[in-house]
Amino acid sequence: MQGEEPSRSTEVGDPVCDLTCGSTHASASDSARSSERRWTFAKFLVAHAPAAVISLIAALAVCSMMAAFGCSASEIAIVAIVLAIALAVAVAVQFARTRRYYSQLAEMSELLDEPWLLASMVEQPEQLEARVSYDAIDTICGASARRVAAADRNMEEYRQYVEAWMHEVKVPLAAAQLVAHRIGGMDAAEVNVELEKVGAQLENALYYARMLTLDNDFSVRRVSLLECVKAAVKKNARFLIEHGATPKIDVREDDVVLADPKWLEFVLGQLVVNSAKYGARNVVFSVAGRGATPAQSGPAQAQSRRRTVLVVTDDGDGIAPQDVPRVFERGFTGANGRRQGSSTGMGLYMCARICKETNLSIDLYSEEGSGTRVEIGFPIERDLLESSDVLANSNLSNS
Amino acid sequence: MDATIYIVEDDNTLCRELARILELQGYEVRSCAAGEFARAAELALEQGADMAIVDLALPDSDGHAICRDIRRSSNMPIMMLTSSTSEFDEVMSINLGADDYVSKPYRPSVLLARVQALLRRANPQLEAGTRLEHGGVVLDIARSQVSYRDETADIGRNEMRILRLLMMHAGRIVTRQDLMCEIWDSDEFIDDNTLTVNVNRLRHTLGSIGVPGGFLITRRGQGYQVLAPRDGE
Repeated sequence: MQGEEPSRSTEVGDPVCDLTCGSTHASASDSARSSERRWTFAKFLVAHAPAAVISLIAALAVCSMMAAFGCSASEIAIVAIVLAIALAVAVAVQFARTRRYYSQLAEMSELLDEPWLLASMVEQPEQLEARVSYDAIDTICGASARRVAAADRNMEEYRQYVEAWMHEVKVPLAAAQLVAHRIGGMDAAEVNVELEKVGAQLENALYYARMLTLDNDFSVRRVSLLECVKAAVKKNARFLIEHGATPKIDVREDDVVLADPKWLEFVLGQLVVNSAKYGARNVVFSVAGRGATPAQSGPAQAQSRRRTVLVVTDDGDGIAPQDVPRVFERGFTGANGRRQGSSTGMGLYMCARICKETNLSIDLYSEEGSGTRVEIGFPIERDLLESSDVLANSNLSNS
Repeated sequence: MDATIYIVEDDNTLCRELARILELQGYEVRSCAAGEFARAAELALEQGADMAIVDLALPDSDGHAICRDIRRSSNMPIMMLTSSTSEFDEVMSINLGADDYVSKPYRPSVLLARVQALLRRANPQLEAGTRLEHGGVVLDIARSQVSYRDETADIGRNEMRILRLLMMHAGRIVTRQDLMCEIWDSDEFIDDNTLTVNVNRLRHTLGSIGVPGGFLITRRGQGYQVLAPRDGE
């Protein structure tokens, strides 16, 4: 692929290419949050302005009437001061009684990643109106939390079902492949190709089910990039060979990155199968920006300054420019997919999702008629250890 | 002396196919009958096995338990067959004394290579599985040499794998795709042209030690085949 790539898919996480992951991160795609505090004294006054104005008018009326009754200036002044103090105290008391509750409510509802916990994060108020709102919130939170828990449970049960079923299916699949291997010959080789495709689809279904319950399911450790690439290529060997795609691996043995090997293999497998499916003769694996060293040139340079980047380049059909920004969308098949007629549109979506969850970056560049390039960025260890998200969710160990 | 391998696998087809592959390679194979899995460890030792292959997911008993039982009374190499890609199973296997594990679906060449490695490590004297013979041509896999009558020649890794696959399926056609898959398994990701080059080099080597031209033939549009003079009659 030559120099310039006219189309670039934005990095996962940008508004254009964001994923709606359901569950805990849905709030990330909500409309922009205001950072100013919602509940301040000034706003309180403004909100209660009508009552204050009426009180002021009443006070003025009283003073005028006193003047009409012939009271002295000092008498009027005393009454005015008393009224003013009374008004101020009334306002202050009203503010103080409910300040804690409303300010907590405003703050928490913005901060929480799981809004259905709101009722338990706020102190139960005493005052009438505040209490009414609190009770309503409590009811909603309870119902939501139950729904969320049920949904999570369903998903987990489904995942377990898929795992069990997959293991069952793998047995006859393995047996069939061995029989085909033994028979040998053209026909058996064709059968083996189809069996491998079935196996690949099964893997996809399994990984999809796992991805839905992803929170605790990945373990990040030091892995050899070369081993992962080779494993992914060999897993799809028949498919690649059948499509005449040849891999060229320019990855060193000491290229070690922090990643979950199973998930990384899955992602690489998807990329390589895509390349083959869309006409690639050569699929080149190379590494840019090893650790702190800057990459040669190109848009990846800025990111690769701080990360190792695995680059997968193919010389296939490429992707139409209008489709490129949408490749990571769930269910997106684009012009290519429709032409092939066999795309589920889930492959790249899953890759993007998995990369996001395991703290990797993924970018796609393509030029129709030239080919496609995918870059996967791995954080260097220092970055990873500083990211508390990953620490909480994974087992970090030396391989 | 041929090594004896004991297979503990409940799926009949899988068990049969595994046995076939191993026997083709020159090993003696015994397997565990259905309903006997609880005594698998005992039977393995009774049958004088040099190595055991145990499937993790068995109905009557736990593959891990069998592994542990065998390990308790013997040092023979144990290979676990796993279906899951879960680390837990893999770590458990190793902890209980298994020497290696392979997950389904199996690539025959990978399986064989690992069996061979385990056996060689455990018992360097065992020779089975390292030589193939057909029509007077002898392939020494361990030394990567091919012999015919009195002549011997070295052959490269790719050529060796090609000849081995062809000889394992002697008399039948092996497709180009199968050959390429076989070589890819050894981390050489060759393309179609390179395969042709490798086969021609192999032919040349065979010719140089006097192997008749009709031994390795091309089946146009299908693949390659090795024949001995008596085949095809």
